[in-house]
Amino acid sequence: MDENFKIKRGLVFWIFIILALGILFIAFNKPISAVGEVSYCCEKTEAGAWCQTSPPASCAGSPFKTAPTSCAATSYCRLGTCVNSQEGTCLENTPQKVCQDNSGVWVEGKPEDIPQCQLGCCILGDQAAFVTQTRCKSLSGLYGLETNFRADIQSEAVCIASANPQEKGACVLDDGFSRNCRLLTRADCQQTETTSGGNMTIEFHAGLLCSAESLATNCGIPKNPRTTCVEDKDEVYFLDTCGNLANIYDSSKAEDTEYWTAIKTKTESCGPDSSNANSASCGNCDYLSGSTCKEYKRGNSQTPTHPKNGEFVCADLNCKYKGNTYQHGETWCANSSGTNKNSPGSEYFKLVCYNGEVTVEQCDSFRQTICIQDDTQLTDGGIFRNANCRANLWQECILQENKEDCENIDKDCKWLEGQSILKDDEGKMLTLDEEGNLVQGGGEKSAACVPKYSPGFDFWNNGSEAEELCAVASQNCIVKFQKSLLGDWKCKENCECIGIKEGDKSAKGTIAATAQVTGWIDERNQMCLALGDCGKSVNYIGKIGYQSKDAVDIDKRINN
Amino acid sequence: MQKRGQVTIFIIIAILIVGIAVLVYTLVPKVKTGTTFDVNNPSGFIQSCLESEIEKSVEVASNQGGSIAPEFYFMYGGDKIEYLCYTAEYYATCVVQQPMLKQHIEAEIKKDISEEVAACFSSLEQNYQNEGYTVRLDKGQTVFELLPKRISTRFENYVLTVSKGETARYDSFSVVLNNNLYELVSIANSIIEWETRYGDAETTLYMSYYKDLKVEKKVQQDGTTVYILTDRNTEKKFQFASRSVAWPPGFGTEGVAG
Repeated sequence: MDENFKIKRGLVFWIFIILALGILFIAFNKPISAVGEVSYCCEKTEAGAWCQTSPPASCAGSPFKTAPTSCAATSYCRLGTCVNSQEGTCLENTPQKVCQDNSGVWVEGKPEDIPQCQLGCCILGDQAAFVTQTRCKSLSGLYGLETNFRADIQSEAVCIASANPQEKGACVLDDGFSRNCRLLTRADCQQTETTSGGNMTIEFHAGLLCSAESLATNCGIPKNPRTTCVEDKDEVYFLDTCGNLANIYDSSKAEDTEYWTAIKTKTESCGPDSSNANSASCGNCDYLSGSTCKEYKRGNSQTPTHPKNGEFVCADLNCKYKGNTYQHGETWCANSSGTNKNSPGSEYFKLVCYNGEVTVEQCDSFRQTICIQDDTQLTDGGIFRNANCRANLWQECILQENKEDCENIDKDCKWLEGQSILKDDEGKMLTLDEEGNLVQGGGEKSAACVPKYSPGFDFWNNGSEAEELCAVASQNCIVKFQKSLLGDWKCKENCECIGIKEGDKSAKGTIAATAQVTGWIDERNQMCLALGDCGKSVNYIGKIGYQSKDAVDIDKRINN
Repeated sequence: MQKRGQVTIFIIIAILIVGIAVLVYTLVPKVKTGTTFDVNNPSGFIQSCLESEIEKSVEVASNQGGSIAPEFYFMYGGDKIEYLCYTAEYYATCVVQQPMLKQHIEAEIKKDISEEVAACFSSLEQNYQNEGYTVRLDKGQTVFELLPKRISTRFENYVLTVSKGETARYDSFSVVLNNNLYELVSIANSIIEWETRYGDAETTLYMSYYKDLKVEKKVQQDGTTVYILTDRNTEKKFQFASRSVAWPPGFGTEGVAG
């Protein structure tokens, strides 16, 4: 090893304690940084951010305030909830001044404790939203509806389920000469009645289509049925001769008078249990299953099939990515090159397939979060992938003293046999006892608990922790040779470090020739690599690091 | 032979017509300098005079987290993207920087178009005067509002009185754009709520609820996340930045981000 560090077990422990305390200081917003510099609460930083704990040099000058304390302890940057009384929204973690300067109402505490922020169910026509009462009033006003707020509904799922589609039917307008018809809700039909001025007879036939023969309107079944998409709906719909919506497109029922009589539900229509993507005959699309109504376009991979009637089909929302097909809504993991070796610069990604398009979401840099994937077996034999980025729990690995603790599920660590990071007071590696614990003066074998996904460090920055952290794995191995009075140099101690046994002669009579890359050196380098971006490594794009030098130096001096 | 000649001439004329049509089609948008003025439709003049300016202003604000000139931003793809929530610390949830986003955007755009509004009304007056009218314009206030599926700019208490023999009075001026910024801003607010609470937001949740919405999350090396919300039908975007529960390299003991 290059530097003559005498790293002892105690030192490793203290390094960890110092680092852990650093995290605690940061996490609990203490105004003192790990390096001992006092941090200030800046009302505004030079960069323009409000209420940040920063070094004093980053704080903006007068008229903005600064104090050598955490922002939570100041009056000007106290965090609370900002209530937008016009929109009815509540945002927590908002500084008092920022909220009030923007004409908001600042309240100390969390939204769940503030009466104005209590959520309920807002019924908006045939839709529902789980919002505050003020928001409900605002939305109702914007959509021209009466406010219908249900404070008793306290779950978003129940709220959405409680939204009832309004009853629709044929609204027949008879002016004495002809019977026109429009497919409307009962309320809209009654509205038409009040605005018609009494010159027309208006009848509402709930659940019937305008094309129903029994209504004898001038709307009927077209010879060449047209179809259409409807805003906020997934399905393809037939149109009658008057342009009114009819039932969901089903080419087998294009001339079926019964199908053009009463309104059918989605489940009563064709293919109710599938997405019907690319079906030429069925327009019962379902967004969550992977299809939605779109106009057929030649050459568009989402609409490869021309429908038998009309120009609209259930477009296929699945994604094609690198030769594989992924279902709409699936998420899966991908890695940059080098993640198998945790190479510097390598990172994890989550890929998302929605609406026929794949988007890439990077997990956090420095492999501080990793991507995990879970595949669900579907009844049709296929799988549905679900992935997410989650925290890489590597921080406690190096302190574990046995395999069981190391491989515990609450950590991302692995047990690496060969070398140990933990050392005794004299700097000697701990070894495994019969029970598999790393102890002083154990058996022959040694081991270390290291991160399964070794983290990255910003080793190129001044003040980076990389040097400190990598030093934990540094090890000196002093190989002693003894020269007999008339004979050659023979190895006496730590001979394994240079790949020979005790009593072996040095090659060609010189120590220098004996010193070569051995298993020990490789093992130490592996230990360095396992800790993070340490040791001799090749980065994720294949560039050799460490200025092409070996991370392991052999000092060939002879000390008499 | 005469017939052949005629056919050739017809072909040449046809080619010329097509060529002129193509030229007109490609050049007209570039040579269109003024806005059509109709003495009977001053409201139409204001709409066409301001429409593109408002659209431009909305686009700038949408690409920059709701601000025309962002003060505290992250550079991404050449855009200055304003932080709506930020913490310089590691492991900590962010502090909201813009709690009244909708009102902030409305104020920003209203301010940005104010000069153009004055110029368009002035141009309207000028056009009437050029037609020999006596013009009086009482100016009121501009109300810029983000509304569901549209953006409305109303000119309240603007009264235009024009006389040329007869007197006509116009007091209804407004510009309405089809735009879904209101919806995108609502989603952005919801994402900020998640960021303040958990330091992250699940994009698939939004895409499952809203089929025309694309939510992209671009995590940067310093822990900043750029969110890009896109309407799949119109390709209109709203993008903003947040830095919350940022992970440091190593243990992160070397302090906080600038």
